[in-house]
Amino acid sequence: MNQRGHALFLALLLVLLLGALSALALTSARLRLAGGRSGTARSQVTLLAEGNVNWQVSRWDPLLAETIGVGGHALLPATLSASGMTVFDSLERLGQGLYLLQSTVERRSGAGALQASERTGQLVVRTAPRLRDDAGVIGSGAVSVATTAIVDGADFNPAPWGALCPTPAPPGPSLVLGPAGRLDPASCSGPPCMSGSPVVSMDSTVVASWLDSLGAVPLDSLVVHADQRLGGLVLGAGPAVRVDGSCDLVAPGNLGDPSGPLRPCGSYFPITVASAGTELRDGVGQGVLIGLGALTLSGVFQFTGGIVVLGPFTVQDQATLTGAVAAADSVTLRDASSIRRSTCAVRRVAAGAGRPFFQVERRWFRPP
Amino acid sequence: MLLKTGQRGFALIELLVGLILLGLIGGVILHATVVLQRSVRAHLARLDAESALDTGVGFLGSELASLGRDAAGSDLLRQTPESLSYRGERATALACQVTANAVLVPKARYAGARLPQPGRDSLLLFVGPDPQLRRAGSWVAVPILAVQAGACGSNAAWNLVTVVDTTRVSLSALPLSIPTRLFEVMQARLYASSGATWLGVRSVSAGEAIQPLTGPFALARSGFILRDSIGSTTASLVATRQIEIGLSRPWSGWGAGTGPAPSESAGVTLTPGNLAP
Repeated sequence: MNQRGHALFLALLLVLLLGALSALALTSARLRLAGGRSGTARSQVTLLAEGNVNWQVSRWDPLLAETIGVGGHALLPATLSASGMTVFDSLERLGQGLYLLQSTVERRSGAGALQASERTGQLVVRTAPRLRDDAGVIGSGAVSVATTAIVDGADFNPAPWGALCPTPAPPGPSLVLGPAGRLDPASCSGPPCMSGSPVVSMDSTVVASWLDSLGAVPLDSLVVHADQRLGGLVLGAGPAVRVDGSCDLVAPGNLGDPSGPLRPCGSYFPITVASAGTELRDGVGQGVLIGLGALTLSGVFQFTGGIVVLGPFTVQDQATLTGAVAAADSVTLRDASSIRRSTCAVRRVAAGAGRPFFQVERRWFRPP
Repeated sequence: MLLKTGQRGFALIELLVGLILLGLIGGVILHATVVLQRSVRAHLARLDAESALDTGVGFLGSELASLGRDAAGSDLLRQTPESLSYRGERATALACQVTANAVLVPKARYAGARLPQPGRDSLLLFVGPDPQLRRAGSWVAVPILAVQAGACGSNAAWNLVTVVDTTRVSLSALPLSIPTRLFEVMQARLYASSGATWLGVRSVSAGEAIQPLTGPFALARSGFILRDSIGSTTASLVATRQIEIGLSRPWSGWGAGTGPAPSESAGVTLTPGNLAP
């Protein structure tokens, strides 16, 4: 009997069994690794697509959104990306205020083979604030107008806007006062410095909380979505255009271009938030201007649109407002300053100041 | 057999020592073989359990990822520890026109795994924006009564015959392209059959019986848990923000007499984006 032969045979059998077991474990591990890699790729593209959509909503481009016609769409500049991945973002306008923002992310191997892709979208509704335009000044505090200044309740169309405005509405009051409001005894109270039909009107709804919300949009939401934030002395605000000819929305002090509606910044109606104590001297601007405290317009500053002020509001020198101001505190016009009521200006800037203030329920929507 | 000169046979003691050594080696090898066999069996059982769990978790994860809620209610319709009834999204589309009795969906703007089926499927139509209500619109559910051929301009479309409550939906205020979701009411359930617990699904709106998906599972350690926005368990379908799915499966093929079968567990917590406020 050859014992060494048997032992060798058994040892070989044992090696074979161990080998088979190792091969099984190795195959299983490889399969798991491949599955894990595939799952990781899928997770990466999904997270990136969702991140891109959220990012695009957060940096909403009001000018682009307004430019796209209903039924049209536009590619958006790429935002978040990652190595080996390609991102395509686009915005489709489904209705007047309804948009579908979508992001497509693809991940490819070094050889160009598609490893994973994801396409996701979000429904976005743009809501416009509603600003009162029935008078030049609507206030719940004291109002004082110098005899050299002007507050006019007639409806003016901003001259450069021409055909963009409808026929002016009938004249309204120059001043609407709430129950706590009053016209300063030393103030001008009639033509030529204050004119309208009637010159002064009372409104019991203009109370302390009347500026908490502008139509459906809470004032806080407008502040959160501000395009421009100003403070201190702001000299010579005006439109800023990039080298490529587009409006530079992030340039400090770019408050749009009221003199050139067809120029790059002509359709840009920023929401501008001014901290307490801000003074805008010289320059031009349009849109919705929110003063969180005291606000002063001075020099030859010209503003077209709606102003909402929570603190004392002063217009002096030759500063002008074409639109309307809603004030929770005092309003003072000095020197040769003027406020001319314009329903066209107020409505146009309010429409242009529409932003995604409210989230759509079930907003995540797989783009068809 | 004769021994040649110079050769000699095994002494008895040598033979015994040889046999004992052979026995010891054989015993060790036999034991190793049994251990190896159990290890292979356990490995295969584990793979089998993992595969079943992956199937269950993967299917439910995909089904429940599109759940949403709005002011009218949640897509979660009913929940017990062993079952979940929900609206399963089957397609999304951009309708080109909605009338009191039809929804026209261009085929090019329809994305779904299957075609719409009357009776089985329903629609959620986006109605809005509605700034007066201080929200960005709402979704209105309507049934699909029939599917006919139609057209959106020159584009082929499905004419989904329905009934729209025009007292709730202002047809003239709808956007040009109307976001539309197609869904059917589904139920996922852990149920007992053949002495084991299985995960099955059925279309409630189609009146289907439960269809086995995967299993068997350990009922005591499997089920559905709803969690609210701070992660606490909740029984409120409207307050639900996360759905926790847990599945546990004993290893199959576990030999008798080798103790209780170990089990493999898998869990996933889903946070569908449309359940967020």
